[in-house]
Amino acid sequence: MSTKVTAQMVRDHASQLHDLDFSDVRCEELARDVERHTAEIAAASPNLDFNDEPGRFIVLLRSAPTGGRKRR
Amino acid sequence: MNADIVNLSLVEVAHAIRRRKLSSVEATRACIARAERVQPRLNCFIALEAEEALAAAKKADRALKQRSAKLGPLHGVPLAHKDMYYRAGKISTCGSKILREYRPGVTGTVVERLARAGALWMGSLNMAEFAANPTGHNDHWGHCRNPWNPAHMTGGSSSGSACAVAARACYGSLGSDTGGSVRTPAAACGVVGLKPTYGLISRYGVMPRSWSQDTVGPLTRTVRDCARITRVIAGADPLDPTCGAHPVPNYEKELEGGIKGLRIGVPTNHYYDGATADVKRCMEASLEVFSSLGAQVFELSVPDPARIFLLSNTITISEASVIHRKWLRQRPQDYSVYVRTRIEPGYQIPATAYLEALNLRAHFLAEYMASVYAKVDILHMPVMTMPPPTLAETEPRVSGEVSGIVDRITRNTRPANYLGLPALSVPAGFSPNGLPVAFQLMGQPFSEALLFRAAHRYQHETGWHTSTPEL
Repeated sequence: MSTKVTAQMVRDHASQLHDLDFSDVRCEELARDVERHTAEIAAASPNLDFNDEPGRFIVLLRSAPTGGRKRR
Repeated sequence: MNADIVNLSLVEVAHAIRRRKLSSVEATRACIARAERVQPRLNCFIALEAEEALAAAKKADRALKQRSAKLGPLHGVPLAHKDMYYRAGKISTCGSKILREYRPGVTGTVVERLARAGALWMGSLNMAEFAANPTGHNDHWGHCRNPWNPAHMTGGSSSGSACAVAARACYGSLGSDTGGSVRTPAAACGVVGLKPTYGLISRYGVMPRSWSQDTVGPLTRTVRDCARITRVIAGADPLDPTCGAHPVPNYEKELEGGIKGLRIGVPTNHYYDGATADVKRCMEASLEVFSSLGAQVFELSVPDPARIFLLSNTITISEASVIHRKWLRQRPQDYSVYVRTRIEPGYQIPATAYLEALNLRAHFLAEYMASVYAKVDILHMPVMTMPPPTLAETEPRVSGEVSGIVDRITRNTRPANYLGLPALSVPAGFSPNGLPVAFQLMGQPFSEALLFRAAHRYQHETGWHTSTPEL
């Protein structure tokens, strides 16, 4: 999947969906920044499973061992 | 006399008040005098509530004299907090221009718990606007300044909390940590700061920055002080659905165990990239202290910190863009460039990417449990890879400079927020020009007691936490 994000995409998205107006320079910056994030997520997403859901994180956090074996 | 009083630790002053060797009024007066003296130089307070604090102190002393109520573990102790902890009807600016007159209708659970434990509210402390920068800059309320050298940053976003505690203007403070906002200023100002396990401490009645990663954490001068506040404020809260019924140990009691055989992991990847010689020297020295106490130090590679950093940031900017959507459209000029720049990318992140970043958290946590915490009990690494830079060096001139500055400062702190893990920032020495350096201990979920014990043993062997800035 292509993760290329362009300044034009940012401009259109901001104005049409969010009623926000950015300068050309800012659109370029945002395109780079957003692409950096989405590319990383795309690279990590093959780890995901059909049955995943965000709430699983809390369950795992609460069920994990806390460590701290008794020490002298 | 005042200097002696303000130099007491939180636990010491609580003990002195309870034993009636010192009155709450004396302690509060000493802190107010100190706060008034350092404020022009450091700008750590947004609102000092001297009269109200003294009235509360008198009441605390009367209660003590009459033994009219069961005394809490913080009875009569003056504290001050980051200006984002709500008290119904009282102003919480959140460090912003937009909320300059904001009076929330609710009181935070942690504020109520501190009050029930007898603590006094001395004032509201400076912070980064909407808790959204890691340096301590604030265009609306003035920059907070490092007590060790006012030309340098305090770190943020809990800038006033770290500054006021280090400057001996209060005995402890609540900050908040979404990507390092307790640990970074604690490290930069030479105090202790806890980012607790996500879900240990209620977020109810606290300004949101990123719901999925926000945590409430204390900043204090000693680990024992931090343990005491944590015990008071931790525990289930029906008003915060993420704050469950996990047992809260008596952290102070558990400080007394040793750390012989404790397995400390030192990451060989990411966390030392770009570290200065001063930081490396302080880290090595601190590990030698742990070894001398019987801990075993191992080097190991940890999974994907750089990727985790970006996943965490994806969640933060996405959630912040929702929280600030209305104001960013209606009054963007009322945000600083720093904050606006950090929120704007959130509007471009696809919902699918945001949700994938959330879904990946469980996978990475499971990976850490299996590949890191199966081998070691805690991780040890620098909070920042350099001593605190100057305010001028970390002030972005244009929007394009913001992410570079933020990434450089928070690269070592943000992973704990994504993974939900507890992390404790502990002073570990000074650079040759007198600026604090700190390590952080990062543990398994709900292992705060172990982190406190290890750090307490370290403080017992070293004196960094007793160093006082000349002001």
